[in-house]
Amino acid sequence: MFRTWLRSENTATLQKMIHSIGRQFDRERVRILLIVLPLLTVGLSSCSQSRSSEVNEALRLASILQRYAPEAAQLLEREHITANDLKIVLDESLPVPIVENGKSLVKEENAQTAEVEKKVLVAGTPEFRMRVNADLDALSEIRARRSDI
Amino acid sequence: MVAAVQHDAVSMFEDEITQDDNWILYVRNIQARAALGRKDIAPEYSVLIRELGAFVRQVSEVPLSVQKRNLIEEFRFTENDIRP
Repeated sequence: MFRTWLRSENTATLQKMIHSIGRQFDRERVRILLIVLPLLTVGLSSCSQSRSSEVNEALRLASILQRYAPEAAQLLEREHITANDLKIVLDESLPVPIVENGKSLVKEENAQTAEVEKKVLVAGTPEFRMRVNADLDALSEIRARRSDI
Repeated sequence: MVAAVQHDAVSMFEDEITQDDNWILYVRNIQARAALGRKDIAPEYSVLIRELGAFVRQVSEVPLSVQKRNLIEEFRFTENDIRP
C-alpha cells in the first residue's frame, strides 16, 4: 500500500515541491552569502586598517613618551630636592623657646608672655626670605617646564 | 588604548602642575603674611609642611615609564621601534 502511495501522482507532486523548496532554500543561501560576504570583507579590511592606524598612533605616542621621559624624571628629582629644602626651611622657621644657657629667658610667673615669645618666627629674616625665594623660583621653573611639555 | 595612555600621561602632568601651583600659592601666602608683620604661625604652614613631607618620603616611579611600558607590552614594540 505504501509502495502504491509512493508511485502515485500525489507523491510525485510532493517530491517536486520538496525539490523546489530545496532549490529556493539554496538560492536564499547564495543570496544571503552574496550580501554577507562583501560586508564581512569591508568590515575585516576596515578593522585591519584601524588596527594599523592605531599601531602607528601608539608608535608615535611611545616615541614622544620616550623623548620626554628623561626630562620628566629630572624635573621630578629637582622637585624632590626643592621640596626637601623648602620643608627644612619651614621646619627651622617654626617658633622655638627663647633660651640662654639652658634657661628660659622668660620667668615662670610671666607664663602668658612666654607663650607670646615662643611664637616668634624667623619668617621675616632675610636668610629665610632668600631661601624661600630660591625654592619658589625653582618650583615655578619646574611648573613652567611641565606645562610646556 | 592609545587614547587612554595619552590621557593618563596628560593627567599625570596636570596633577603635578596642580600640586606645584598649590605649593607656590602656600609659599606666597606665607611670604605675604610675613611681609605684613605676622608673628605667629600662618595657617598654610602645617598643610605645606605635611604635603612636602609626604612628597619627600614617597618613592615615585620614573615619570611616563608606566605609560610607555603599557604601550610596549600591548603593541609588542622594541626599544628600537620607539627610539625618537
